[in-house]
Amino acid sequence: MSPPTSPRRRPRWLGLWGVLAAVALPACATNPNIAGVPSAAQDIGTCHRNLTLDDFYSISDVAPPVPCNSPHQSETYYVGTVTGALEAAKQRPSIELLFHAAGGLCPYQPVLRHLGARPRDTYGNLNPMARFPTKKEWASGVRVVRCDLVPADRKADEPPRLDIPLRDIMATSASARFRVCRNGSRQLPCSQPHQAESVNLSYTLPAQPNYSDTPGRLPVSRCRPYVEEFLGTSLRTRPDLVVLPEVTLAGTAGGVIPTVSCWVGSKAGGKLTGTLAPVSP
Amino acid sequence: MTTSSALAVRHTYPGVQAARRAAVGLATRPLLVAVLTGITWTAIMAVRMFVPGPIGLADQGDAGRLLCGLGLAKQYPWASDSFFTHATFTWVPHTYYGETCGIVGTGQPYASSQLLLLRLARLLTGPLGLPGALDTRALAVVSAVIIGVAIALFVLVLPGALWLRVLLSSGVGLVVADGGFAGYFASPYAEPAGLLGLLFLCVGLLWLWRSPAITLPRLLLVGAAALFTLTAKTQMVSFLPLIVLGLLIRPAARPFVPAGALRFLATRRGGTGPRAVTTTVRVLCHTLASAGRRLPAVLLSAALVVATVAYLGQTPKRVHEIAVYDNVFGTILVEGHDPEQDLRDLGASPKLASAANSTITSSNTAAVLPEYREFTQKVTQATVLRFYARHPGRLLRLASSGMQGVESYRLPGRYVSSYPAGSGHPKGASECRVCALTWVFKAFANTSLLLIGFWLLVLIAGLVATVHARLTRQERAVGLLAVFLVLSIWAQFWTVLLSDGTADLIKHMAFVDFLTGLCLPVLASCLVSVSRGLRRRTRRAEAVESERLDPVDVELTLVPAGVAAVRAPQTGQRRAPTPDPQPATGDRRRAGDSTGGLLRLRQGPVRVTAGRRLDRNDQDDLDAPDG
Repeated sequence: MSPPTSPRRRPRWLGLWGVLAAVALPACATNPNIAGVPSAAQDIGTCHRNLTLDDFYSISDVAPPVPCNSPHQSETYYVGTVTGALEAAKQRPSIELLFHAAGGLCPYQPVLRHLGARPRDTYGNLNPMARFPTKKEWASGVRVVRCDLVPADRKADEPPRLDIPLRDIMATSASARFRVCRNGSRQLPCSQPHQAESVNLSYTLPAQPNYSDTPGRLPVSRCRPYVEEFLGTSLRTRPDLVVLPEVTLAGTAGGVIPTVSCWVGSKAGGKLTGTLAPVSP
Repeated sequence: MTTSSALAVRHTYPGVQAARRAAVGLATRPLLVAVLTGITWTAIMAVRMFVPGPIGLADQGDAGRLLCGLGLAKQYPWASDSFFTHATFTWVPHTYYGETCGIVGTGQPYASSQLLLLRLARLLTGPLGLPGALDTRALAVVSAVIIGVAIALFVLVLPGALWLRVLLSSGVGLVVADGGFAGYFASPYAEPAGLLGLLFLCVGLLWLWRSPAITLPRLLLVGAAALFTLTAKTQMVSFLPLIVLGLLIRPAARPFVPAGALRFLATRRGGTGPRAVTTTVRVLCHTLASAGRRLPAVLLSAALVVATVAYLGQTPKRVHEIAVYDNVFGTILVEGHDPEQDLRDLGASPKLASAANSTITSSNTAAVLPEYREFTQKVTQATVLRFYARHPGRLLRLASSGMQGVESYRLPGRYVSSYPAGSGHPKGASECRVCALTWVFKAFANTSLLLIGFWLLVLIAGLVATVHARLTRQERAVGLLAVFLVLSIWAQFWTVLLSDGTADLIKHMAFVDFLTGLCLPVLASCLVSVSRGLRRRTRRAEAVESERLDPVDVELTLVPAGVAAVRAPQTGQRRAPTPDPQPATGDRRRAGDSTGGLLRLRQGPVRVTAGRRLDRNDQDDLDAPDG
């Protein structure tokens, strides 16, 4: 019986460990993540391409930005700082907590500024999305929050898509995709056929115990100056257009409270496409 | 076959004669039969995966975390209703930045031995003319070949007649090819590694246990299969204790300590000290001597333990967090009647009760509540185990839910579909091209007692086969495998329930279902072996009682060493005779006399009939009790 440590037996046992290693090593996952642009270096106006669902819904995004006149999914409109109880956490809070807090960390006013909206311009079909630092960045003290705008509409089986920058888009005809219009009471982008376009004004009337929604009694005159401000001209120069207010009612103990929102549409009642705002082609 | 019969055969058609010779030749070549069986099942798997169109499994969200580790992203529609309702096969290269590749929000890719198969599939994707950097249809081809190899090995290691081994191995093939598992082999999930690993583990253990002592090749196969299986998914850790036990059952062929030291240890009498010390030293020396023969298995077991612990250790905390969340909010609070009290028993705030029946990403998730941070610090997997230890009655409810998951067997088509878009099948359709096991599980549906009874039957049959005195070592090995399968089923069942609760239960119970399916051919093998053992006992009893052996035709068979083995058909005894070429003149001793171990041929004419060449399996039978 040859001793087990003889040169002839040693390679066979080495072979055993070799085969085990051959099985184990490929099972080890390699980490393909590469460093990109640090969250602290994120800038307003940068555009981002996220073609996979995992990238799109990731809590952080450090991929290098792409030109805004190339296909992309989002554009940064605001870069702020995480505040409050979350800021103090030494380890990055859970994804759920961060997404829950995102609504309060991405403000509304900077959206209008970034889009170049006038006081009478409102926007729709755009959703804010927050991006936070990576775990490593958070651990090193980075508390930047990047707020992006993402189109809400998309073609079936495709990711949401932008091909032009959103900065100051309200001054162009391309803004029709992001302006608010309606068909009846259903709101839709102005790039689709519609009956009326919003002029971003609503006001509430006093509670009325015996309210009647007879159109003739609606206070149209209060909308007129705002419609003209929206159009940038007097309605007399646009005889094809008319003020089309929309009334929503809220029932209270003291009666019905009407809320009037101001819209402008075709006097003939036909469908329009595009925006009525004074924009460049 | 008598001479007259031989004469009769000689006068039949030459084609029949040739076919008979081919069949006899084939039956005497187990390796050839095994290879043919394996090739056949590879073809069967390939056909069932691709004809008339390819099938797979849709992605329910787990795929990306595995394949992103290879720098790949799936190419599939963004529409949410296509996410689950169609299988997609193509993966394209993708650059991942920051922490986008990995388990959500962690940046840590999911490790699994499945990556080995995926890398092979990636190499084959281009040569097979498939699109993308990796097409999971190439994975189906790889899996079909591996399954064929496994089936061939089953033919070689199972006991019994060759035709029976082919039949039982084909039973294994039917299990693997069933609609409940086949889709995984063209999917981006980690399950294929677990399923294939378990197949080879069964083969390896059978090969290991049929030998009187372990050798390096057997250890190699079991070790590699075990490592592959244990690193497929974290839930596979349940198999580790049983694998270790299975390795330690048999000693090594040669001890792993120098022979001289072994003899020294074995003969030490402990010196001339006090009796207790003398006895202790003697026992220690004998134990060490015995342990020396199990040292290879001990070392391999230790390596497997270390590898498994390392594999589990690199699992991101997020995975554990989600598992505990699902166990508490998706299982414990749902199955209990007082969520607030249950939370108190777990050491968590009762204010989290509003999140009962939620997932961590639900709109009513507990993860956004202020009390959740404390929950993550106080409630762990160990806490959950202690909860069940203090509330053993809840285990019954948990087990009932678990049995429903096992009996459901097939993932609902609305959850993960089998067919790709454009296949002509409706959304959420499930395939059933091979459905033998599916039909069996339909019988188990909603009848947990039937399934439990089946498991117990397999366990009892395995135990009987393991200890039956008249069974060969190969037959006992199958009995041991039956015991291993049932204990593995129960270990896996409870591991899933106690770690993840009832979340994604049907998918998590896939291995329980798979091993249950394997129990069917293994049970059949056990029953055949036990019945053979009973027949041997009957023949032995008859031989003992019989005092006269009528002179009959003696079958002369050549063994590889060239020594004649002689069988007297009446008694069923076979002995390798000690040569006695000089029978005494006038000696009228009968054939079958076994004086002093000699089998003497009688003087006078003896009709020698045709026999057959013994192979290795028959040699083992010669070593069997009364063989």
